[in-house]
Amino acid sequence: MKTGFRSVHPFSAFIFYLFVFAVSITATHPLTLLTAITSAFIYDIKLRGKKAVSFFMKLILPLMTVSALINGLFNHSGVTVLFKLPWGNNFTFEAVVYGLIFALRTGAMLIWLFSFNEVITNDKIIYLFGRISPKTALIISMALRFIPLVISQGEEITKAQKGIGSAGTSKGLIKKINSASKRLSVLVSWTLERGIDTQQSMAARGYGLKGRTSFSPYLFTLKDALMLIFSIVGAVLYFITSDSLSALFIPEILIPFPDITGISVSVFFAFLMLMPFLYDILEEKKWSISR
Amino acid sequence: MVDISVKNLCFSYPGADKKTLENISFEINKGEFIILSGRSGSGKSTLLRMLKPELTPHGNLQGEITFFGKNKSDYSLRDSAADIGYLLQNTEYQTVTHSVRSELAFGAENLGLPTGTIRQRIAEISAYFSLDGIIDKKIDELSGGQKQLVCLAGILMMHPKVLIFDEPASQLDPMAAETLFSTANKLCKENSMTVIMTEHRLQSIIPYADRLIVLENGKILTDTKPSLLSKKLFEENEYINLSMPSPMRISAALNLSDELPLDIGGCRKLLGEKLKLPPHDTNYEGETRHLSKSYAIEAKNVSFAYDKSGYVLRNFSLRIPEGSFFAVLGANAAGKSTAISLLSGLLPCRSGKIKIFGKDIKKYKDSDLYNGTVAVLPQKCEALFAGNSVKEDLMNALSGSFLTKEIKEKKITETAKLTEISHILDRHPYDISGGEMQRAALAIVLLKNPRIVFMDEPTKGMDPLFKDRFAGIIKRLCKSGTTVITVSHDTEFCARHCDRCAMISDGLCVLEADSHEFFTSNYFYTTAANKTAREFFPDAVTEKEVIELCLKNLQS
Repeated sequence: MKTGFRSVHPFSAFIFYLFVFAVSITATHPLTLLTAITSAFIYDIKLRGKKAVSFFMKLILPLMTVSALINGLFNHSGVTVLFKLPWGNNFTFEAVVYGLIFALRTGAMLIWLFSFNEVITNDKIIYLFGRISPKTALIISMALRFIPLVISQGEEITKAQKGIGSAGTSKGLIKKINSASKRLSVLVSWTLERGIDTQQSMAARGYGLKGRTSFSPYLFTLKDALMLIFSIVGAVLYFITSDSLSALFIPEILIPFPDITGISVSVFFAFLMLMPFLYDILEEKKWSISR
Repeated sequence: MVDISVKNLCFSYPGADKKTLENISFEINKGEFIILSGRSGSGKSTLLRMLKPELTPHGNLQGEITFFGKNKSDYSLRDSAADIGYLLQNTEYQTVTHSVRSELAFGAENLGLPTGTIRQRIAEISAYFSLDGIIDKKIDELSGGQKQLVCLAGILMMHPKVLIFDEPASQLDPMAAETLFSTANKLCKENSMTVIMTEHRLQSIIPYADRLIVLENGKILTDTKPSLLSKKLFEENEYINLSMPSPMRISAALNLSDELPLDIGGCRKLLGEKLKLPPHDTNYEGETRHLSKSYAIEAKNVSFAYDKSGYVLRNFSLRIPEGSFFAVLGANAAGKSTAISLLSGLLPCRSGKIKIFGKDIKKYKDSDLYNGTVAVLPQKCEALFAGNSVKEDLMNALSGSFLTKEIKEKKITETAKLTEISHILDRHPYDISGGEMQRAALAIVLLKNPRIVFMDEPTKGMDPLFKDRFAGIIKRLCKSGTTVITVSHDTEFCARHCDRCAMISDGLCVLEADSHEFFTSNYFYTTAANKTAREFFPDAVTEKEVIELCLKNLQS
């Protein structure tokens, strides 16, 4: 079992991610967006270390530059004209800033996605599906078993066919297509025939009896409840106070300084979005002391 | 207490005239360890399936089967799911879900057990099986042996009373098989679970067994305590004589005692008592085949690594005489399969030199190498079949050549005769038995006219009678000049049939010798017969040799 935020109940973690994704996509105020991208980046560094930094440098920063430039080149509204483009259109300050804001959103979203991938594992996705439809969850789980199996069989077939001179040795497009279609038909019959074993193995273990339960290794504890409540409160606050934390970029840049509600909500958002990071850090501290 | 009882059971598959099972009666008592034996096609699998209602095939069934005192019709599927665990032989396809934990929970979920109970049982089982290291893993990250153990653990989650194993180790290497067998034995002896197992590798399980039931042509040939197996049957019945472990065969042939010893130690002791004095005649003059002086394959200082993690082969050198039956042996992950892949050109030789018939393997074009020079019989023969009949697949194998239809037909008839598959040419490849499929695959390989045939563990899961037939086919090939190279774990098979053996360990070829010399010079990695009689006849490798030498000494 992993520790820290990765040990949080899948449902709470999932709701948390829904919240940060919603904020990353819809927020307009730079303060909110900066909070989102910074906390995402901090947690990503915690999870992936150097890789996260190089991801930021190599992808997110260039993306922001390119996005600003492209928006400047193709979006000509805005009141502050920096210069005229050779083909006669205006290159405006507002368009560039809007491009940057757009890039901030995409960047925050991407970085959060990376940590989502680490935190919400396949097992957790299957568990979440299982709450809605246990059968779907089983099918996903079986598919996840089946796909690597079929791939390894495909490799085996290619090797076997090469060993008797039927694959990988032929030249010419038609011959290649022929040999590939032969390998595919071997794969299909092999998979279907051996699938009977799976079906028997399921029957032998009582699949199809009435009243099947769905086991989950996850426990819902106080900390999971807190995480869930925080995320929901965050989402509610975000929708209620969206007015005091909104900004306008086109045709004119209007970024109001947040009022007292805006500031307190922003502080809460920062705290909430840093939760994964804090979870990990606090748990690490706890366990390093107990050692 | 009787768990399952079978009375006058007859069964035939729909449309078949012959009865698959005929007049079978026996009782399975609680806590017994029963081995169900018999050659392929004797009806073992069908009988096992009769004992598990979910898997009972359709057909004409007569007689009576009772489960825990209940008639079959009164016995519910829910009870059957929980009471009777059934482990199949296919390690890959009997796992259902993607992770170890969900695989363990699968059966228990089907029974509708609550989460708390399942959690507790998973904890218990993973402690019992020491699954801690793999409980968080995905199924496809496990080895074959681990998969089989996880499947067994998943069954035990349902707290069964009877465990049925259908050739559970036929796809496992010897070490993994030993682990599985000893686990089965532990469950039987400590948790008084009833175990019924079919298996060809009797050597490893017979010491555990309380009862041995041998089927022949759908009838019970004998049902006895293994040590009381009739000595007459060893003389009269070819299957028993070939399939029983060496200690039993040696003591039956020499009539060492009333009860047959089941393990090597017991037989050695009896042998010592019988011979009394140290034997004076210990030389065994076996006839060794005269092998050609020219080499089919010469490998010199070949090294290979898949990635940075380390060499799989290093400075590997080997010479394989033309027309020989050559075995490559070694532990798991010693580099055997890699060596074969390199020698057959399936993996590129980057460091060192491999010559095939004196010509550098790199100078061969793939299209020449695999058409008439080298052919590889894959471990999983399914990888060669796509047609609707065996004949269609054989025809496909010839599709690249420019022969007339008559010549093709003639070649197929000849090859089918050689590999003994003439009677199944019109059947669908998946309707024939595993052994037949293997021979059909061999036929496909041979139709390519190879001068060198590679095989990867061909004897895995073969019954002992069929092993002998298979060896016969290979020997005929070798006599006609084909070189056959096999990777194997099967020391008994190699000792009996191969001309030369090589041992690979840690990526090196550490020993290469005439197979007789090979096994006599090994101390641990040798045949059961050699281990049994080593102190009396260090030269004897197979039971036949031990028995002959022993008789020679007793007569004089």
